[in-house]
Amino acid sequence: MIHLLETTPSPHQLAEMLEELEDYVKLAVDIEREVAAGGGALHADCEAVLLGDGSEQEDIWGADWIPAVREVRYESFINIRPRQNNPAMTILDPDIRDRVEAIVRKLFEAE
Amino acid sequence: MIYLLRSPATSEQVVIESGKLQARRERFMNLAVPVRLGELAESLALATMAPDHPQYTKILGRFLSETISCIDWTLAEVDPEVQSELAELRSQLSEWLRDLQAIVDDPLKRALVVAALKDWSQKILDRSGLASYDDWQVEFDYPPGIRASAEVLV
Repeated sequence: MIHLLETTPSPHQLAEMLEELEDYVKLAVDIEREVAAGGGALHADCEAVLLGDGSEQEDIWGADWIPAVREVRYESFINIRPRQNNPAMTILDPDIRDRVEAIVRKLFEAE
Repeated sequence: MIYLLRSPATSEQVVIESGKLQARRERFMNLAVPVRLGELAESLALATMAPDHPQYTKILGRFLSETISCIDWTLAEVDPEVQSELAELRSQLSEWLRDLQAIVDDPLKRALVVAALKDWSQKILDRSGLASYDDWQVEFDYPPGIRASAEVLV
């Protein structure tokens, strides 16, 4: 199940987000609004939730959260944005990557 | 999902997993072929994640088997050259899946597999052509249906 996260998810919400993939949570992160959508099997579904909530596509970046090792990963093909100088799956701009990581850790590390 | 089975799988486990796989297949098949290749490339890249995870064997095994499923769902719809590469990749993934525990237990084998997964990920991403579009998300209506919904609302 996908949840729109403005604050730390409850243990129940986290369990629901992990239902599909078990070991990690797919995330779409809006670096301007500092919110994320997480869960499900595809980053596309998370991205759709944010777009439906008013996010702009250029502000949304894909990531994954692996709770057991508290690791943030940045490989998602939704990150391929040639017109934003990001022609790769990973987030190349260290500033954007740091912002994504900060939002993800703020949301999940207080769990 | 891959279960470590010390006893026969319950009928509930079988039903849940086949239901999840079917749902994932339906979502996947709704994507344009270049986007499916992007998903494949992502899955290959993610297969290199979390080597320190306590369930690493299970995670790697699941990525390998899920990527094989994605290839099976895509193979018939790509041109012959890509088809041949995907078939080669499928064969390689199947071999790694068979040798999974040996790969995880041997740091050298694991490093070689991780390097090969990264190479394959880049190769499949190149084949997708997504990076050649200024805005592939508009080109391929991704996420599916979002723009159509927005137009209806307007």
